[in-house]
Amino acid sequence: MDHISLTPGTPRDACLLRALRDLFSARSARDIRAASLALDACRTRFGCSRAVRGTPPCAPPGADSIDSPGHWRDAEYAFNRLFVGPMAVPAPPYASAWLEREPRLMGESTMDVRNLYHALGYAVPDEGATPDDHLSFELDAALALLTLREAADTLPPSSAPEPFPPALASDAQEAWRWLVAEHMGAWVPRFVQHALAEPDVPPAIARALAMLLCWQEDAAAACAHRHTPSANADTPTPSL
Amino acid sequence: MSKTTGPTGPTGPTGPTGLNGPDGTPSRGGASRSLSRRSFLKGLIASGALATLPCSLLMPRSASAAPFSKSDFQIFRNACPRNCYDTCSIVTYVRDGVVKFVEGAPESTYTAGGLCVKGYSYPRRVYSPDRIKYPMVQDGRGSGNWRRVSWDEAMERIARKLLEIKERDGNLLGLALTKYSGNFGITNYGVEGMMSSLGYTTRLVGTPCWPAGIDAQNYDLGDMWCNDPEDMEKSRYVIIWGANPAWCSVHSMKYVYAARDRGAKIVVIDPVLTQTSAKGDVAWQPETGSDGALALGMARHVLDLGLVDRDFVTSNAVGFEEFAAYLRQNVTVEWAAEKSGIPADEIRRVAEEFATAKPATIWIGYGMQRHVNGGAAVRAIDALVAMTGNVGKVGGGARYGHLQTWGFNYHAMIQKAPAGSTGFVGKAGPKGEFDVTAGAAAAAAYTDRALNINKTAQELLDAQNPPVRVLWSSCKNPFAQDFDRNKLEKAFNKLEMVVSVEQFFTETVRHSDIVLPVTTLFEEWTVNASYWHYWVSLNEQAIAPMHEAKSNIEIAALLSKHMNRLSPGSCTYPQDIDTREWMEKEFNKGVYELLGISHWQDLRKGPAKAKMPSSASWSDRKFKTPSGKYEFRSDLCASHGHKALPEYKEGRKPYAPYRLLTPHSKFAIHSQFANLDWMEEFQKEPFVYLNPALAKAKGIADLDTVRVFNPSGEVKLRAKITNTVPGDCLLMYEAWFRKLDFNVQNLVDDESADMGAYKTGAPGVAIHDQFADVARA
Repeated sequence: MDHISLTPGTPRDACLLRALRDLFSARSARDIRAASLALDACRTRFGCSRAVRGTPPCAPPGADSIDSPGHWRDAEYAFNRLFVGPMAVPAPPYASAWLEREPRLMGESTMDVRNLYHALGYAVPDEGATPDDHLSFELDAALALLTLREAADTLPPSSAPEPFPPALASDAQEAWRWLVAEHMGAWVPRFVQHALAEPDVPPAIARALAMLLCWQEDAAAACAHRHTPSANADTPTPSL
Repeated sequence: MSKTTGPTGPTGPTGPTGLNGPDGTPSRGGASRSLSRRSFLKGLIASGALATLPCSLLMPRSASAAPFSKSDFQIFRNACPRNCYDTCSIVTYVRDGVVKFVEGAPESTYTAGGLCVKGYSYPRRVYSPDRIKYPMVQDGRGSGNWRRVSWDEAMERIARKLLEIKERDGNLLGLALTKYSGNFGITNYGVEGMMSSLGYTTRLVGTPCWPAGIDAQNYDLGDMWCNDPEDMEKSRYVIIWGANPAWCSVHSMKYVYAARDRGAKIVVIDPVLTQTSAKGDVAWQPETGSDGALALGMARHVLDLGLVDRDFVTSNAVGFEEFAAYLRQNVTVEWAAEKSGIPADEIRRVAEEFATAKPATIWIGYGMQRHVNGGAAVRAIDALVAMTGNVGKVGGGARYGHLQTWGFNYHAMIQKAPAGSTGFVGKAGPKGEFDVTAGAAAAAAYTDRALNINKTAQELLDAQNPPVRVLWSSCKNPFAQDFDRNKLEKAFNKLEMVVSVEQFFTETVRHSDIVLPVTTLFEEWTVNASYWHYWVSLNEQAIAPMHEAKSNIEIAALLSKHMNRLSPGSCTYPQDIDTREWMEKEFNKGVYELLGISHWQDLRKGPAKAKMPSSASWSDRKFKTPSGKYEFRSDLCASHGHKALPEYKEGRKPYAPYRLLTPHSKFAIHSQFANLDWMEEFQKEPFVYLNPALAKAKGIADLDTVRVFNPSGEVKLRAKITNTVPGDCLLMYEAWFRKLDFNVQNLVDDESADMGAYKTGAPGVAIHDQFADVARA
């Protein structure tokens, strides 16, 4: 199958997803710096306007004015205070911590995204030890679905060397909608809000959080737009 | 997209307090539950066009990655490894590699299918978002500036430091271990083994828990060995003295109730009116620390009534006549009444009932020996039980604890020092009550350096040649458990490196340079015994260690790898270990015979109970004392600087107006469990409990914020006014609140108890001989 060239997803979304994924999976000041610069590059390249008309403008803080090791080291400390530990973190970057009836890891919502990864043929490294619903994995999966959705939308079946499953387009779209609008929509906004409410959030992290929220809201809004009754008037309701 | 097939399904519960996200807003649980029914999953799988997706963190999934069937649970055997009487046998239900819930093992008649409130919260612990997930390094101790590091980086850093101090000092005595009862799984003695495998090190030895009573029972009986708690139901008279099993040993209560159902009277002696007192027939609230006087007053009355078991005291004991003479000359019931505040008539009545009920038993709690006269008090109570002929009897006994079922190999613990190691030259005692190496150490040219765990702060400040430079803390939270917190902070400031092995961000972690995440009971293999009941439980690994957690013995192996890489031969610990193999290595023929099993695998069917000749300890009346008899007069005790007879010993002189009591909470074991959300639901903040009369005198209203202070320090908290606490007492439960600075050790100094050095290496600590003042804040 690898001779099928799947075109990258919407370049802006893909750019954002990659940079955000790398930022939230950062292990060091160097990782944070690289991901922050990549995020800035996305913004420079694609601008920061909202994808859906009528939504309030998205205005994350500007690029970091300093680029010294100490600056990024401080960002690392703050990043760990917010998301990693060892102290109890105010904004755990796990869906399950926000979606379960009582905050915990490895809850039902973790299993939901695990099932999605499995359906895509993927799994987190060290499944069982690594919570599947860490934000960075969910962003990675979103990137996968973005690519898949684009491929299904743009490749006419006749051009594929093998028959492209006719349902894939709607499945990919539906999986995308579930992940970014329904699942992430239920926790990412609260996660962002909480992290941003903490004192002394460094600009690089505040910017990433704001861009994450904008991306998620835009993506969810786009899904809703696509699913309005008028848009779907002549298509059958997908069976769920 | 119709409404009936809407994407969110039923609106999630906006349930009661507690059912919230970390932000406290109602979570939308249930919103995403319908994913498994979504057809797009099947569609995606069927498409086969997924191989070229641009994932960089997610890995291609192998089909074998999820061995668990969705519809079934995998069931594992676990054991609660906490420092608790009950050491529950647990059954763990796992689905999709996730612990779903736990319950008590039905096979153990002691656990009997139920856990305590803390035990049921275990899934909250494993999957707490607050758990320490990765090895981390703090840049500047106490700065809160933490960096994530790999295990290799963390261990290399530690190994380099150890090699540096060994080079500097010519030995490794600059490395100290503080470890106690945070995890009693037998393989966790591999932490001590890790120290031994590095050379001769400094150990904080002793126990803050129960040492005075251990020594007392050793002087009297030759060992600490209690009856099976399950035979308490055969008692005709039960005195629970300084223990609160309704909170701290809930599984024992059924035997207390069964005894009462069969006609036994239940007497509870505690300065505080506890839940156990409330369930007793008689509740005595004596002056704190007057237990010895009370027991001796009862003994005098028994003597006066001629209710002494003559056969026992003449055939099976030594020194009874001397003890009787002491009682006649020095003790009256009125004197005991005056000392204890319990009316003389009541003392006479209970003493007579106790002496005439056969069998009668006393449960000697650990609380009552945490005094400067605690060991002497236990000896007095032992004497009361012995003179009434209740030692060695089913349903009788002076019940304190036992280590009969702890005869494991201690393979993880017993490690050799590297060739050429030098260490401390001098007297070596036992390194705690579980030290099986105590005898062997005497023969070696060098030993470890022992510091008193109950004076950790002072000992760390005072240690010289070399000073303690590196402190390794595991299965222990020194800032919550060691005494005189302010002094401990000074002591930590002297240390060059602090490594803590932990699951949560305690105050000790805050004062550390490196933190290493350690496994929970569900994430490692081990085996657990109890110091109270006679069941032994296998602890199977039920799930993969979460995040990057490692077990204590895996940490030791990794340290050994880095030590040997940097300096070959510098550590003898095996570098590649399997926790299951190491659990297997703990078993031996003796354990199998005691448990009546042929292989450890038999324990997978359920916990096993030791096959003892009798449920009564000392049923053959062959005591392990020097005389082989029960020793009312112990020359050994006298040779250790105490009285030969169980004479009354005065308590500590007050140094502030009110006595301060800091016992265990129902919702925590020391600093464990209190930080979990389920426990916080019941215990959100600490309170100081005080009597209405005291509150009135101090102008304190219920829920006022007050300062409790003494020369050691102070705490600020809210007051609750209650009649359950005597008028001269301030009571606050020891605990750790993840969101609060509260720490009872601000107020508890390191005054020693009278006994403990003989069997545990250091005297106990007078936790309940503390005093403080209170004022509105």
